[in-house]
Amino acid sequence: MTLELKALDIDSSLSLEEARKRTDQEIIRPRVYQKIQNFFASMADGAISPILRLKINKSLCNLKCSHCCEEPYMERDLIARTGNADPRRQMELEDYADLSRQADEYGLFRFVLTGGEALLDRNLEGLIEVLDSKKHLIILDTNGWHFDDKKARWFAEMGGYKAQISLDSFIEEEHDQFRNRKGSYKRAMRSIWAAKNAGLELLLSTCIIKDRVFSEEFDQFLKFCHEHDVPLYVTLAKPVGSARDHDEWVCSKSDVDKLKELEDKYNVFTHMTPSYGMPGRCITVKGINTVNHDGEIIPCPYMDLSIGNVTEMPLADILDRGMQNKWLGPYRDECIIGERPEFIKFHNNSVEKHLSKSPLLPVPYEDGFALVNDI
Amino acid sequence: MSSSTNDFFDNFGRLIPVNGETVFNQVSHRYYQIFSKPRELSDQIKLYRQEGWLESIQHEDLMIFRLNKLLSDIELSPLKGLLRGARFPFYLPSNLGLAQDIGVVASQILFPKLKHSFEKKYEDFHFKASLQGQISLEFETKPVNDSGHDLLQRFLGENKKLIGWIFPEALTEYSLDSQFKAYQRIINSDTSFYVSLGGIHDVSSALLASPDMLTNSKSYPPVLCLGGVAHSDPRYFFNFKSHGSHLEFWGMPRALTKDYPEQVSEQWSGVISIFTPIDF
Repeated sequence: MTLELKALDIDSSLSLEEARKRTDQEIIRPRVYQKIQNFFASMADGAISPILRLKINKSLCNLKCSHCCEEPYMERDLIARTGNADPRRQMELEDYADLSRQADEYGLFRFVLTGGEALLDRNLEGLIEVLDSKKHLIILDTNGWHFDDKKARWFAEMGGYKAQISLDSFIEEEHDQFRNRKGSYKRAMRSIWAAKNAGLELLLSTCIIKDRVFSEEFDQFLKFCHEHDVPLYVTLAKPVGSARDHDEWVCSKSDVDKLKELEDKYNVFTHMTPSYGMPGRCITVKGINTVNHDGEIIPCPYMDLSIGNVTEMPLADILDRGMQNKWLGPYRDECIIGERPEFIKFHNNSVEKHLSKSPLLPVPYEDGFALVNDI
Repeated sequence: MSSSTNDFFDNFGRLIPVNGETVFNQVSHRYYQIFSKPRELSDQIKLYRQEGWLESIQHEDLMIFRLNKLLSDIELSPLKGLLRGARFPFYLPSNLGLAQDIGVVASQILFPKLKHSFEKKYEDFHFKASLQGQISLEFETKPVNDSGHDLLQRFLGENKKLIGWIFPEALTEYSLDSQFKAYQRIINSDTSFYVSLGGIHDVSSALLASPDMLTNSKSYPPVLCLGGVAHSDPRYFFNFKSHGSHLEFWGMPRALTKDYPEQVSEQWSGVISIFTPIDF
């Protein structure tokens, strides 16, 4: 918890909204509340409490977006490239149950379900059950195509906490063009009201490419979110996935700085925005880790390099190993995969080298991060 | 100490680490750096008068003269290698109650002044001070013994005015403990001025005169660690940092993990201050 220095009339402690959410958890999910309290009490000793972002169902998706960093993980892409399905052992419900147990022991309290499109997973109900919505906040990433009132009510009744709906342009034609599917915009907009009607926490997420933050479209988008009290989560286009050959999409520091300026005026934030009393910083390992559908843990949503497989070694050891990596653990302000040329080069060279031997991502630990000096 | 001491600094005024000091890179890649641009000392000092810290233009002129004299003294000293790095002037008056408890001075005098000054100059941006965790600044923040900052505090307690220069890139990529070790290495020299690790007073004052110190649209500046002051809970440290074009002060944990309580970050930089009393 951050204490504000009253004399300055500053406002960087828990916002009213953050405090409300935390109070809600004390009542609805006491175990989650307890873990949050424990984390803030042990933060000074180096404790971390990252989100685990679960890429489920071989990243199956109903859309094919222009800037998707997930495409190389999808079965359809693998088959198109090699003619074969993913041969790796996939995470089963019992693996997720064990992950939930380990996460709870470690003190983690947030799972994000993502894909592709998580709602396409026929085992989603069973997955939410084994993850245990009393012990963890279950957050759903969706493109909104299938997230109507009925589905939103179902998710809420399953104990779902929040819906994160992606909308990549406030201009309908542009969004549909990005998504390569007409009607995507209308479905996404519909899902906003569905989430609200179901009483779910809600945010919109959007991906920005270079200079979009300065555009009239983005300004209108911000005003819409402000008017309807919807937080806007912004991701930066990264030179990975479908965008690996689109360096021109990569944001500059001036894009990022503009976003930081807008944080004071609108409810807009990135993964590096100060929140819940912590400064803005790179979130590798300590902020968000992706768990691939084969159990590989990737220390950032936008990287393709693993720090270990949770079906082969304990989650705590993997996170500890990640924190000891020079790139991933120590404090730094910038987004290394979005902004740091030296890291982007290491990352993309590792991926390229790996893909010359295997069509499967992510790059295993031994062929990527293990080659960088530990601290 | 002989002039060969200059070899201890690299071409950017960073103290070259030696065995026993923990640093992120032995030779800094300089990814994080203070944006180098021409700054007029008179423009910087003028801000003190605008903020009511200096009474007259005559005082400005005298201060500029003395600050330049201090630079000449550094040039003639074993620490002249510091001058190859970024530097910013500071002034601490004697009539503002700056000798009180450091936390009280910070939250009631220095930060409000810095906030007013910074946000007046940059309307779209903020200065914020935040403490991560259940800690307070007031009556819990002390100068670190033998960091030179204890001496700075003593001078303030004797009602002396101080002027000086901070060198924010002198200890880039050093862990906090190693900043202290490195400082001990460079004070073994006979100088006509005083040397310390940076603290809240000197760095706040330098930011008042140079509010654009950490503003850099092209690259990331370092996080300025204030090794001259410490919280009563040794797991925390204080720093100034930018968040985009915003300016922020943080009290934050120093540990990397439970097993690595002493973090070494590429972005953290220890500040060296050089100061001397001045009479008006």
